[in-house]
Amino acid sequence: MTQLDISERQEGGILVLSVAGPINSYTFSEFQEKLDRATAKGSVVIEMEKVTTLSSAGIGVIMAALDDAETGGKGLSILRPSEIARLAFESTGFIERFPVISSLKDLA
Amino acid sequence: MDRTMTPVFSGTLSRRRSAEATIRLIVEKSGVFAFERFLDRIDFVLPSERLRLKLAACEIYDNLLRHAVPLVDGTAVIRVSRRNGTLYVGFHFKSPSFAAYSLRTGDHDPVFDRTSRRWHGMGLRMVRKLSTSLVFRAGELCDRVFIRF
Repeated sequence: MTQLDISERQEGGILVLSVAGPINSYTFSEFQEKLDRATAKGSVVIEMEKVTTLSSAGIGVIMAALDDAETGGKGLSILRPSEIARLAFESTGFIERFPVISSLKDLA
Repeated sequence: MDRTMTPVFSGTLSRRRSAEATIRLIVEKSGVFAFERFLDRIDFVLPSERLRLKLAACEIYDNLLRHAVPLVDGTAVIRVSRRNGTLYVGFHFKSPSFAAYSLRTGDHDPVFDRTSRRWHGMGLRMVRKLSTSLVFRAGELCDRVFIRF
């Protein structure tokens, strides 16, 4: 079975949650749990260049986290989404709601 | 254990005008991985179609899991085909709950449920934006969902 790999790292004082693999109906709850844990610590960047698919359930997790971050005065950004992740964001019709960055330097 | 039944690929592959790939899947949560592998292996899908096909077809699979399971025999037959140059996906199954659900599949704005932290209707919106048409057909013997790209 294809696994979702999620790891955390600190880069220049920023918490980066690196996600690789499919975010689908099977894996989205694991993604939600790890994203919630990360956002509880502060602002987070989700690195998505190795995401192989992104379902509406996964997008819902990100949108909920964005709402929470906004309410809590924290930041949440999406770093280098893969082609399929970008297409998934576009297909919601809410692309402008997703703060996509191409480099951590964009946060400066 | 991979409970997927063997996929069948057929068609006039040399011209790529008419081709077909079919799989019968036990529709359960972990089956999405076998479905993704099946979609990735279809060789008559154009590079420009592949990502849209994967996102849209997997959304419908997820939809069946949430709104149509339990299926009458637990399985769905899913057929990806190209006819006259156009790509189609058809889901064929029988579910006691699908007829009622299909009445609620209109083009509504998605609604966010704060309690479950899930969007309702977002998946269908995505499929509609990724495809040219999405049709739900409840039938006496067989229920169907068709996507045209």
